[in-house]
Amino acid sequence: MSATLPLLLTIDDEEEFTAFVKGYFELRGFRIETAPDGGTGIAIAQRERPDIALVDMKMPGKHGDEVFRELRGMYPDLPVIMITASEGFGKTRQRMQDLGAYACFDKPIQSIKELEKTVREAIGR
Amino acid sequence: MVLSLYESIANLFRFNPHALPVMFFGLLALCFGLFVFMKNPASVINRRFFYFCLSIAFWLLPTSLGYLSVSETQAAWLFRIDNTSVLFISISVYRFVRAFLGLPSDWKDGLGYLAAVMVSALVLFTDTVVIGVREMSWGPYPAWGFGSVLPLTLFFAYMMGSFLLLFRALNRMEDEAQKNQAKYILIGYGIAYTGSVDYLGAFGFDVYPFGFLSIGLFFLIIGFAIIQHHLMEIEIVVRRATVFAGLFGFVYGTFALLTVLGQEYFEKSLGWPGWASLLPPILVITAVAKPLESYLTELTERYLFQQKYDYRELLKLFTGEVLTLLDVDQVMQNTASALDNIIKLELCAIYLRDSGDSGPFMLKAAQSSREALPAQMDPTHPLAAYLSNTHQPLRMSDQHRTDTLLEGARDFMKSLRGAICLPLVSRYRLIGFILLGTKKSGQTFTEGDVEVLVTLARTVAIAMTNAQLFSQVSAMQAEAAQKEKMAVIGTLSSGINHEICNPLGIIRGQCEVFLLNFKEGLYDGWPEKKVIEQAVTIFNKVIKETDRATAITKRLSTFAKPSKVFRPEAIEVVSEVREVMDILGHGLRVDNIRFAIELPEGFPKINCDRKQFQEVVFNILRNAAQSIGSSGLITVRAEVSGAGARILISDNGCGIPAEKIGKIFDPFFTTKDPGKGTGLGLFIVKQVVERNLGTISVASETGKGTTFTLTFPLAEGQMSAASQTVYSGADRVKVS
Repeated sequence: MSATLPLLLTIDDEEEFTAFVKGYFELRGFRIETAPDGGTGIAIAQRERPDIALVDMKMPGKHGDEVFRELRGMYPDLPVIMITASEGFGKTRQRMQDLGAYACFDKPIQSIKELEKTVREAIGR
Repeated sequence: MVLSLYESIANLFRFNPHALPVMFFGLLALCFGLFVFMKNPASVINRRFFYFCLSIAFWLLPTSLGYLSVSETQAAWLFRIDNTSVLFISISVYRFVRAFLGLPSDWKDGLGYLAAVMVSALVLFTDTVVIGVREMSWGPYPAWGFGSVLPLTLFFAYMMGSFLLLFRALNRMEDEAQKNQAKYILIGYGIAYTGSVDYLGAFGFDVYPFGFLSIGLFFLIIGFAIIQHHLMEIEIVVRRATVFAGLFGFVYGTFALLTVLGQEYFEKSLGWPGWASLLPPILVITAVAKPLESYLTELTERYLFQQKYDYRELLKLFTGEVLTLLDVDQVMQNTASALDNIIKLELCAIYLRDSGDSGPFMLKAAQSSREALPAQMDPTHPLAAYLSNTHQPLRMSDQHRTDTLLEGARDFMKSLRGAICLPLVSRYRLIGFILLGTKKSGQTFTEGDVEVLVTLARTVAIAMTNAQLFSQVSAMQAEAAQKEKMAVIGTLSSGINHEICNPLGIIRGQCEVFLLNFKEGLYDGWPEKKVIEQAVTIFNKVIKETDRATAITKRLSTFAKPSKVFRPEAIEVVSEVREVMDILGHGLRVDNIRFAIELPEGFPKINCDRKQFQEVVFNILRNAAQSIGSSGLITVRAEVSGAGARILISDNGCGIPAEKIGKIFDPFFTTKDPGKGTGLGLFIVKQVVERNLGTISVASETGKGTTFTLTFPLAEGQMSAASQTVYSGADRVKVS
């Protein structure tokens, strides 16, 4: 865990979503790094270990679960929260939980406070 | 040997023209009786009619031979034989009437035969009845003595007995058909018995014995009753007998006439041997017999069986119109209407089983008052049960079959004044039946009628089965089309979720964040201007995302809304393809499918219904994306070709196997796993393309990809522009 502000890595092709997450969490004591795709996200993670990652399931290029596996391959104890659209989510949620995702959230996020609470629990703050 | 036989015959018989008609009618009676018997040997009525005809034949044939006899002794013997047969005539009439009325044999039958045998012995072996032979103006004739009282008494007793039975039964009869039959029997036999005037000659009165004519009239009347009133099931017999009678008359008459003329000319004038006179008649008969048979057959059909021509119209109507109908209700309405209009019936009703093999039969069409008809009949109903078991028509006039199953059905028919019920059978099961009442003319349904109606019923059954199958297929097609729509909606749902829910999520999130920040005091200490700027930024995002959601909603709504009007117009290929891409786009990007449009600058517009063009492109792109799975390329190219535009949509997916490529435009054909595809997508695409005067073709290679080629006509005024522009690779616009 970083002594400085915790680093939240958001990997999502939706620019508006990452801007929204950044706008919220930066005001609440987080550093935010955003990536529009899995490849960029992995590169950012290699440069600096994030404290927590928010990963979108459906992205062009690498899909979310592949990104998840690579991140956990690099940092086995990195908490990863998966974000995805709600169609077929039940199976996806189950699958990701089986793989070890810390939590799964539907998009659009119904409660940003709930997301914040989960993020803080995941990083222990 | 032939000569000696001829000479022997010439010594025994001489030519007498009065014998000819008597012999003719005698043979006619014999043949008629034989035909009736052979048609249905098991029928009591047919058997007893045969006995009657036999007794007539054995009366007339010996009489005619008697007329031809040279010697008095020979003539006397022949007349004794004919007088013996006469005894059996009235007894056989009596027994026939009893059989017709359904009365069992009784002691009077036995007494009659016994008396006839005893009196026959008297006639044959004594001189008390036939006491000699008189030479009358028409030839030899029997002379009767006092012993003739006995045969006369026996003859007239049974004759009166027959008439009494018929009179009494006629007054009691309720069934119109049977009443008509009884009337004709009464009239026929009444006329036949006028032949009793032949007895006068036996007592010396010079009254020409025209009894044979009475018999001829009798057969005509009975023949008419058979045809019109279904007296016996031998309509075909009457038909053949009429033709036979005509042919026989011709042969006999020609032979007799030409033989006589031959005798005069060949023998007396030329001195040829007697047998030479046979040659001319043989030659004439051989040449004319066959054409004459055809002519008589046609004559009989035209004048005796005229109804056949009406039925021909009915058959034409059914095979030409009813058989082609694909709506069950229409089939039934048209059937009932046609039957009633042409045959003119008191009642016509059609019952049909709605579904399955055990459901009730529902009344579907009726041309008379429906109140009297049950709205439905269970399979256990006597009529339904009879028809299910037998698959045979039920005729009320068929009085001569008895079984318990039939009785209940006939009682029901009687209650409705029904005359005939025709089963409708399809694939060996009863699907319904047609109930017909009596004809308004009062005529009964003849054998010919029934033959035609059974054929009609088969036609109607086929038509109904076709109509039912068509509606099932239509329902299946509608279900499949609905599944196809749902499949399209399924494809769109990814886009719907992303393109609509995400903007809404962002709108909500931004608002929520601003409010939370404000509530948690995170804006405390911010300059007012900065807070306002933050609010403005958020409001701008809300507006932007709202506009985005609205735009995609409108686009999807426009795409999904069914087009009620077919409206070809000039459309831009690029913009329409891009419109479809916006709908499919997110799903394709997520699956790493790249997309490229390669179109020349200023590509001419095509003439097509806008929505239908989008549907075509949507379906083909969707199929392309599905064949790729993940990671691939879809290219849309276009080029001008003659008077049209060619649009090629290619993918580098899995391709279509060669053996399946010829079927991909067939309805319900799919290369996907069971349950995954409806098989209607490309079928509908082809129909839509062709409706817009375009064509579609496909080329594919397994493992390499597929290219669909669409051609559409250029919009008006575009052709000249297209022909004047030269396109090169540098002009192509690449959009991805």
